[in-house]
This record gives sequence, structure tokens and C-alpha cells, in this order.
Amino acid sequence: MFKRIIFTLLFIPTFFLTLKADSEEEKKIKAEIWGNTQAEFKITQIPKQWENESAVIIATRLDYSLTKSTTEKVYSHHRIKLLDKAAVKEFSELSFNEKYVNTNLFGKANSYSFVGVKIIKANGTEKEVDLSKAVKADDDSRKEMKFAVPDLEVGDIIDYFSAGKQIYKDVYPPDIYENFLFEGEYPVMKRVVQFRFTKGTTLESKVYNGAPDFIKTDEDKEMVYTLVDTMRNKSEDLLWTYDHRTAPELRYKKTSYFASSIEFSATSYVTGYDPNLSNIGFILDYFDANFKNETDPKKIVNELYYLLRNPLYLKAYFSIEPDHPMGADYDGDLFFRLINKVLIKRKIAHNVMLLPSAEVGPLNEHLNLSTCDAVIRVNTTPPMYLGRVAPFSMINEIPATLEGMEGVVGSIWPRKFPDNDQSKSVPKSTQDQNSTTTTMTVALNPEDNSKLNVNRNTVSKGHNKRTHQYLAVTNYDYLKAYDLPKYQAKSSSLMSSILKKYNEEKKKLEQRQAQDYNIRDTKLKEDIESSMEVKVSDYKNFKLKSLGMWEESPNIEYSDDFTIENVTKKAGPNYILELPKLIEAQTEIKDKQKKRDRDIYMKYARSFLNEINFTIPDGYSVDGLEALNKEVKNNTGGFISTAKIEGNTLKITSKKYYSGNYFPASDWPKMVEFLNAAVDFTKAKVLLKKK
Amino acid sequence: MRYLLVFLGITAVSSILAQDNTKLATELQLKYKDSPVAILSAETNFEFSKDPNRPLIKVLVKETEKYLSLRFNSRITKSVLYDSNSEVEKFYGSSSLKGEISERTKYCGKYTSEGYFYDDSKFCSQSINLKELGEVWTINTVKSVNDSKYLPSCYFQDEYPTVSRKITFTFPSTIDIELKEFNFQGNSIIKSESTVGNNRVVSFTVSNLGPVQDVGYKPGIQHHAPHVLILVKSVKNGSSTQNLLASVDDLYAWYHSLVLKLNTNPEPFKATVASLIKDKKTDEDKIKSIFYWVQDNIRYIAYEDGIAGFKPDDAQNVYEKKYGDCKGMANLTKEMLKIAGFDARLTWIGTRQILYDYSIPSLAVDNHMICTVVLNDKKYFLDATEDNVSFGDYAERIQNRQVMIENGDKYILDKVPTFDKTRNLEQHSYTSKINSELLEGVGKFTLHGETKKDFVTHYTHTQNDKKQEYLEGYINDKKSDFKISDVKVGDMTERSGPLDIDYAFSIANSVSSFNNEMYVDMDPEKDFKNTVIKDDRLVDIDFGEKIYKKFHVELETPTGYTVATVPENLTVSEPDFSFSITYSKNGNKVIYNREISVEKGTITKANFPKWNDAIKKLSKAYENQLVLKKK
Repeated sequence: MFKRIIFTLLFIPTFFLTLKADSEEEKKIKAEIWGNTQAEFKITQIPKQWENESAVIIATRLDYSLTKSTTEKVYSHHRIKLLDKAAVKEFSELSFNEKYVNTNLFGKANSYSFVGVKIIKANGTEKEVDLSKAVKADDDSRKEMKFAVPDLEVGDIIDYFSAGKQIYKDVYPPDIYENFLFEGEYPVMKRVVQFRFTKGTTLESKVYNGAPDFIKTDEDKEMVYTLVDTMRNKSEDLLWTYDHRTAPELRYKKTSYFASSIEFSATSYVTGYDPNLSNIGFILDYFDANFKNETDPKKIVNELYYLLRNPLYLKAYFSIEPDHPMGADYDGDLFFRLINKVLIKRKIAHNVMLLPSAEVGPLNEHLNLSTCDAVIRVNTTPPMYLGRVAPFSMINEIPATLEGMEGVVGSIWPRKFPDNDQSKSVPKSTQDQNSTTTTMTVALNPEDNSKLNVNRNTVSKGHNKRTHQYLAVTNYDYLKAYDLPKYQAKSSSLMSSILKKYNEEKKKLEQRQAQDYNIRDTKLKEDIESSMEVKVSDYKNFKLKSLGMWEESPNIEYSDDFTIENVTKKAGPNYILELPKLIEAQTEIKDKQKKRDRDIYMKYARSFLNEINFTIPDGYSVDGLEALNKEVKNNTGGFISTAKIEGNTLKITSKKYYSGNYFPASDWPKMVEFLNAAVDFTKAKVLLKKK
Repeated sequence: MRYLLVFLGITAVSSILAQDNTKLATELQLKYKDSPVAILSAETNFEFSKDPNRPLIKVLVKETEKYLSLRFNSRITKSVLYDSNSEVEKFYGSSSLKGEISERTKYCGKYTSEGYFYDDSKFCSQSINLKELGEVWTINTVKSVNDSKYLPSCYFQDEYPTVSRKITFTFPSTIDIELKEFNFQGNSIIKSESTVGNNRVVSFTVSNLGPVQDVGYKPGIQHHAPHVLILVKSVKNGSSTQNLLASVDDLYAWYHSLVLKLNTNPEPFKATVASLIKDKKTDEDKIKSIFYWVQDNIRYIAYEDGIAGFKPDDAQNVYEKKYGDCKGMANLTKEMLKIAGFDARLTWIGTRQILYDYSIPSLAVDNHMICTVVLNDKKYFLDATEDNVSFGDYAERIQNRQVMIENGDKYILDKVPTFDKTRNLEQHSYTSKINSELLEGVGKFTLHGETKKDFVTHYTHTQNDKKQEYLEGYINDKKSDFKISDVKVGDMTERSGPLDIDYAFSIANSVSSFNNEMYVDMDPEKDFKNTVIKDDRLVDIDFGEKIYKKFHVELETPTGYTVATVPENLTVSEPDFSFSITYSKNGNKVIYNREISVEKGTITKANFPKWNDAIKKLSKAYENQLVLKKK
């Protein structure tokens, strides 16, 4: 139902290679695929515009048929011209796995029978590769067999196929659906995909961003869907994009006469909660022991949410062991069912919402619910939004990709309450809500003026804080944060044994505290080094002031001290300081990235604020502040910085913000403007001049 | 060529009481912060016996290890490696907290050793659940080795720290075995010998050994890890003695016997050889033509399955497949040269990774094969696995290494010549001037030896559509404020001589202006800046090649400016390495020269403090700015 559930129905690409040399059937298939090739599989030349590529896929074809509802046949055939040594290496050590056999070409089957490989040399001679020399692949490679393709050189064409057939007797044939992106690692001259179904089964498809669609033909007892795509460029690395929103794409799924729409599935989901299916005994025990007479819905919802995030109750409900609480992962929808049931029990009005991920687009563009997730809206004023629980998740901090997306809302529970909130989405968070503020006190190291001593305080909130939490919080800190008397209510023998185990874990984690803190300090030091592009020595005095996981202290806050090596440049009696570097390296736009025709998608709006207070040493003055005052603001975001002297302190402030999570491509130059201002700022220097 | 290595761990006669284990674990946890377990005690017994049916010595390796957990709720995997010459007979164990592993819980499979496409390596593994700090797991394994020839050495270190380890070799007095000790110095290893019945028993006991360090630029393990080389020399059969690997003669005899099994058929490549030498006037040109063809057209892909780890593939197979391992490529080079009328021979060699030479009769002495061609009484060594190395030049990894050259029933021992650091010179220069706040001008790299080979190999193996990016990244180290244009690369197909890369540049972050002064960073490259070696590093550094870098900058003083301050020069000169920075003035130009040398490409542990001190001075010197003042 949810993103986190892996669809095992989708064909498992196990692979059986039959090495019986030239069986009759193999000969037949080879003749079928290589003998009656389409014109595109006879081509040997590539267009001029792609001569500088590493390889070009001359032709690729997938034929999938499911006839009589039980017989599945999958043939996939590829012809690739290798234009450099890198491509020769890539294709010379061929393994029978999805990468090569299914090279992103929709085609996957649950059983292959035959593989054929031939090489076409530059002079036109063809030679089939003897696959009997294949050897067993390593056990951890997820591949069955591998072989080194002989006599493969730059300029050769490798032409290979896999052909499989499977009959489903006692089980249903697999589901078929895919969000297929046409642009891959190499350009493609011609791609053909053909699905063939017995009537009664159909293929539904929709195309995006200029992709071609299937053409449907009626052939007696079968429906045939054929797609042809030609001269497709390879994919390009693009900053801030969701490929499924901007690149040529085909979404398709196999349906039957009885298939329902996505909206219908979503509605069924939100109305299909059966409160009777969940056991909320532990939760009620907790409330009985601690909040028996509590009536404030906000208080109850808060307690409920943080209770279900508690490593102790994860064990009770989700069988998740409490030993690595920060790595806990939550599947399925039990969490939402428990909340729903408790809220009904406590007579707190709420709705279940199902929201589509922004990465795929509006709900009606989704193939199924695997790319959607639930949120519970509690009808308080203002509403409280409860997203899927995660180790640091909080109320009203739902996954960023669901924010602002319009979904389906179920009827209010309990039924007797009025349902006044007509909104079908959760508001988008703002750059102020997702912000990180870093304040630094900086001074020249008195013993060695080439170094800077830094005291740093970091506060981060909203979606921004997650990175900091995983850097600065250890499993011990996390368990310790939950070490509260209210969570120690032993209401049942099961709960008692869980509690015992929990307390043991806590004790053990305490014993490895020194080790964990050492790892944390190393991580933080390395993070400073990579983000500021400096060398750090003497990292110390880390202090975690707030974990940022509770209602009363929702932000993470920590401080630390460190020394940065070699950031002062000696110029005669003076020093040049690269203080702006301390706001961390900024996103730089390369020349080839300056032009953009695809829209900009980011996860969320956000802001980064910095304050650097540099103590000017006695006997020195500061020059060059003009270059540190910058202001670029527009609808996409901005960068503002200031520098001034206050007593013996040079105070530098900066704010960079992204005002939204989506902008049309036409806004790109505006973004580049403020991104460049931030880059220019980090490269500015100040002069510490000897008086 | 296959390289055999056995890590051991073993038994344990532990006198440490259970209640002390938690305390010890806490201490070890602080000392070895990255280790999930320590080997509390380990005992390995190598039991040698004569194979009743074949003229071979079999070995039974019995091992008992006690792992002390330094973690809670963690898992480690204990693996035993084996191959077509060995079997895992037993693999079981239990923990002080009633955990258990057995034959039922083990999982076995195949893996491929690094660098090979396929070999006969296999593993059996057990997942060990570490429930508590101080928990002790006792793990027993028994492995049988069919032929002692393939078990050349035994190492004392493990991936985990070792509290105590005992390795015992038990062999009948009829078997002559020499146990050669390496890198014992600095480790407290105690050796004892005794005779028990008809057996000789030799034991080594070591205590408090750190884990094998996972660090970069490591020399080959033989160079630094304490180990015993096992030389099973001969076996007495009544009054007669049968030599196994008693001397290098026996080693060669075995290698030669494998070569004699080759079925060379030169027909498939005769025409190619003829066309390659057709227009070549000198013998040297003919050899070059064949050698370069193999370099360029045969891909290195290694199948090292069983005996294929030692026996070369037939030349015609390599020719037809267009791939092979070092032995196959050496053999094809040899056979093609023979067709062309040259005296070419297979040649065994241990690369820079190998410590030993051919005074030792062991398969561990070599790990590579090349071809030697004799021309006018001079030997030339041809290693076709090294792309872009010219005839008469030798890659760093084979320089100064002893070689065993085939010579019918005999062999010839010789040495590959060595070159000094100038072979690898990387010369880089700027001719520059200041335009506004930009440092602009033209730059030139001149690459020699290993630096040229590395560049050309990377470039030719980079995807066509990413070649330009690679080239620019090579020049500007991917710095975005370092813009490059008009890049011209010399002829990369010309193997001899240096390679030039010319370009024009504009650097945005090297000049800062304040009031009437300009501050210029003369060295935007800053090679080796901050490359301080960590205090806890235990093994020498081996860069893999001798390093010699020269950087020369000429800067034209802008009109209206005069040079106010020239930074101080720097000279650090040690036997292993040297750095120098000099500034000078010549007319209206300021000249900056920087030289970095690592004479042998290695920094020994004893020199780490000197290296770190020098690097700190160098890093500081890099931050010094040239000051120009308005007249």
C-alpha cells in the first residue's frame, strides 16, 4: 500500500541459463530472433551527432505476450555499438543479471531460458559467442553466471538477446506496471516495445514530456500494443529535479475489465480502516497509568504520537528491537490504524488522508498507491497532521514530498463530529520553518596565527534538522531521551519483559557511550571538513543541547569547538582571512548547467542563517568589508550578507533561502543569480592589516 | 598469477576468568575503537603428513579461536576461505551465553579474489551474534590442504586485535620443512621447538597484536606483517629423499613442466605478426610493433581457476579471445616474437608488493609473469599488462625486481633495471599576468614515465563523452574558479618521450586587492597540502611510485605596481623526501619554483615525524602571499 512496501508481485528476476548446446528449441529461438530481424537490427552505422558518445544503442526491442492468461513470453533483444574502451570494458564482462539482460528496458520476466550473444566486427563479419564458457558468478553478486566476451574491440557491435517463457498454472501471472523513463545511460536510435494480451486484458498508458505512446491494434483474439521511440538522447545530470516530472516518461499498467481507477483505490483505502483489527491494549494501559483524566485532544494526540515513536512500543507493536532506535524503519499502515482506533476511543475527531508523492505528480497520474502515503488530520484548531512515524518525526512535520499535494480525505471519525475542514492537502512548509542557524565565535589561534579557533552553535528546525540529528545524536542519547518514568508502566507480562529488555539495552548503550561519542565527534569533524573545505584539528567540547524531537523543544541544538588549519594567508605583516568560507561551500552552477529547460523541483523551501563574530586582534584593523555586503532577492529565494565592526569584533551575517519547492524553468536565471551571490560571498576575503 | 595467503587465528587455552572478560573487553574497547571483537586466544595447528597415494605433503589446519565481544547486539561474520586444493572439514562453535553455530548454520559459496575475473576461491561463513560485552565465542575450524605447495605462509595478525595467539607446526622428522620468519622485530613472538615421538613440533606464540590496519598507500603485506613462510622442501622415503620444493631449481622445474604442457599453434596469429613487422626496418621496431599490439589489443581479464593460476593460456587462445591474464599476455608476446624470429622467453617476477626473491623456493616469491626478449645480448623486459609503457621503459612495480627467465631445463636469474625519480617527473608551469583580479596566462604540463602512463591510461579508458571533463579536472583539480580553454594534448599514441598538455587559464581566486595593494597566491595547486600522516598509522607509506614534481610560475608585475613583499623560501631536505619553494625576481617578473620529491616513493614509519613536520611547513608556506604595491 505504501512506498515502503516492496512489491514482490512484480516479477522476481531470477535467471536460469540453459547451457545445453544448441538444443532444438534454442535453435528455433535464435532463428526467430536473429534470423528474421527487423531492419533496425541490421544497421551498423550510427548518426554523426552521437559519434562522440561512449556507446550507442542502435536498436532495442522487447516483446511481451501473455496469452490464454497463463502463458507468458518475454523476448528482449539489444544491439549496441561500442565506441570507446570504457564501453568495451562495460560489455566485455557480461553477467546474466538485470543490468545487462534487462537494461532498463521494461522487460523483466520470471524465467529466462536462453541467452544469445554475437559480435559484429567493423568489417561486417559476425561471430556468435560460445556461452558454454560461462562461469558461476559470485554468490553475493545477485547474478547467476558471467562470462568474458572474447574478441571485443572498439567499433564492434554487440548484439544479444534473452528469451523466456513461463506458464502459470496455479498462480496468477504477475502484475505489470512501470513508470518508465526513456532517457538512459546511452542514446538510443530505435526502441520498440510490444505487449500482446488475450482480449480481456488491456494496457493502460499515459505519456509525459514528449514521450511516445503505445498504438493499439486489434488482432483477432489478441490486443497488441506497440510503442516506437526513435533517436532518444541519453539522460543528463540535472540539479534539483524529479525525473518523473520533467523527463520523457511512459506510465503503463496491465488492467482487466474489472480494474478500478486510482481515485477509487485511494478512496477505498481511506474508508477501509477497520478499527476492530488493531489491539490498542498497551496504549490504553499507558493512558490509564499516566493520563486517565486527560481530555485536551492536543495533549492526548501528542502523548499518543510520541508513545508510538518510543523504541519500547516499537517492540511491542512492530517487533522492532530497541538496540538501534535511530535506525528503526516502519512499514505498512499499522501505525495509522492504531492512531485511528485510539482517537475513536478517545472521541477525538480526525480524518485519514491519502496523499500522492510530489515526485510522481498529482494523484490521478499515479499508477497505484505504492507512490502515495497516509496522513492523519486531527480536527483541532489549527489541525494537527500526523505523518508516518520515524525516529525523529514530529507532529505537523509530515514527509516533504507529500506537502501541498492534493489527495483523498476519508470521512470524519467518530462519525458524530462535524466535518468542516474541506482541504484535501497538508500545507507546504516555509523557508522559515525549515531553517538552520549557525553562530560562530572565531579568533586567531594565539600560538599559531595560521589557524582559527572556532566556537560554533547550531540550531536547526523543520526538514533541515534531520541531517543534523543523524550527525549529532547517538542511539544512547535517543534511548536516554525516552528514559522517562511515564514510559515504565508495567501493565502486562509482555510489557514487563519488554521493559526489562529495554532497560538492559539502555545499560549496555551506556557502557559503549565513550565509543559512540568518539564516532560522533569524528563524523562531525569530517562533516565540517567536507562542507567548509578546510582541515580541522582539535575538535572538542561537543554539547547536545536539544535533540529536536519533542513538542516543547522542537529544534535540534548543539555546540562545539574546533580549530581550522591554514585558512589565514600571510601577506607581509598582514593576514588575509577567508572568513566567508565558514558558511560552508555553496552550490555552484557550472557553465553547462546555466541553461535549463526543465522545471525545478526541490524537496522543500529552506533557509540557512550564519553569524560569524571574529575577534580582531590587538594592533590590527580590518579591510575589505565592502565585498561582504550582498543582497540578491527574488521570488525564488535570496542571499543577503552584511559585515560590520562592533568594538573589536567583526560581525558577518548571511542568509540564504529558497522560497519554495517548485519553480518553472523560466525562473532558473533568477535562482542562479542568488546562488552565484552566495558563491561570490564565500570566495571574498578580508584583510587583517597591521596598524 | 595467484597469490596465496593464509590468515590464522587460533586456540585458546585461556586462563582468563569469565568475570574478568568484561573488564578486559572494556579496556580493549577503548584501545581498539573500531573493532567489534578481539581474539582473546587463538591456536592453530598445522599437521603435515605424507599423502599415501601421491608424492605430496598434505596439511590439516586445526584452529580454535576465542573471540571476545567488545560490542552489544552486533554481528560479525567469521569466514574460512578455501579453494580447489582445500576443503573445510569442520566449522562449529559456541558462546559463553549459550549461542551456537554448527555445520547447519554455515553458508558457503563462491567469491572472486580482487583483480580476477574468475578463480576457484570459495568461502564458508558463519554469522556470529555478539549479544553482550565480554561474551566469549569459541570457534573451531578444521581445514584440509591437499598439497602443501599451495600453503606458502602463515600470518599472525588478523582483522581484529589479538590478545594471544599460538601457531604450531607438527611434522614427521621425515619431512624437511624450513619455517622462515619475517617481520618479527618489534613483536614479542616466542619460538619453541620440541620433538614428540617421531614428530618435530615448532610453536610460535605472540601476544597483544593490533589488527591489520585499513589504510591507504600500504606496501605489500609481506613487507610489514609478521609471518612465517612455510617451505616444505623434501620428504624421506626409506633411504631415498624426494625433493618437493627444496630449491629454486625445483620451483623452476615445476613451472617449466607447466610450460611444457602448452600446445602452441601459431597459425592464427602468423598473418598478424607478418603485417606488424612488414614495414619495420630494425629489430627494435619489429619488437616494439608486436609488444605494443599486445598492449593495445589484449584486455587484461584473469581466469585463475586451479592450475590456470600458474599455467599460461595458449597463445592462440589469448589471440583469439583478445583477452588474457598476465601469463597469457606474456605467452602471446613471446610466441608472436618467436614467429618474428626473436629469442623471447617467459619470465616469472614478484612485483613491488613482494618482499622475497628467488633465493627462496616458494610460490609466494612471484605474482606476475612478463616476457623477456634478448636482442644483441641485451635483455628487454616486456610487460604487456602495462598500458602505454614504451619498449625499454619499465613500470615502477617491476623495476629493480628479480626475474626468473626460462632457459630450457635451466633458468636465468636477472633483475629489471631501475630508474631514478626523474623518470616520473611531472613538470608544470604557468606564464601569467594579472588582469583585474584574475590570474591569467598559459599553462603547460610535461609528463614523464609513470605520470604520463597514468594520465594516458585513465584518459583512454574514460568514456568519450566524459573525456573533456576528465582532462579539465586533471588540469584544474576540479576547482570551479580555475577556468581552462584551448587545451592541446600531445600525441598519446607515441609511447616514448614525455607528453605535453598545453592550455590557457584564468583563475578567479588567486589575487586579492585591498586599497593600494594586491596579494597574489602564486601556487593555486598546493600539492601535498595538509597531507599529515595520522599518529596511529603503523605501516610505512608506499605511494607506488617515485614522486618528482616541479612547478614553475612566471608572473608579470602589472604596470603601475611594484613588488613589496616576496614570501620566504622553504627548503626541507631529508634522505627520503625533499620540498623546496623559491621566489626570485627577473626584470618585471616574479619567478616561483616549487619542487617535491619522494625519492623511492616510500615514507618509512621512522620518518613519519619528519614528514609531518615538513608537511606543516609546506602547508604554511603555501599560504604566504606575494604583495604588490601601487607605485
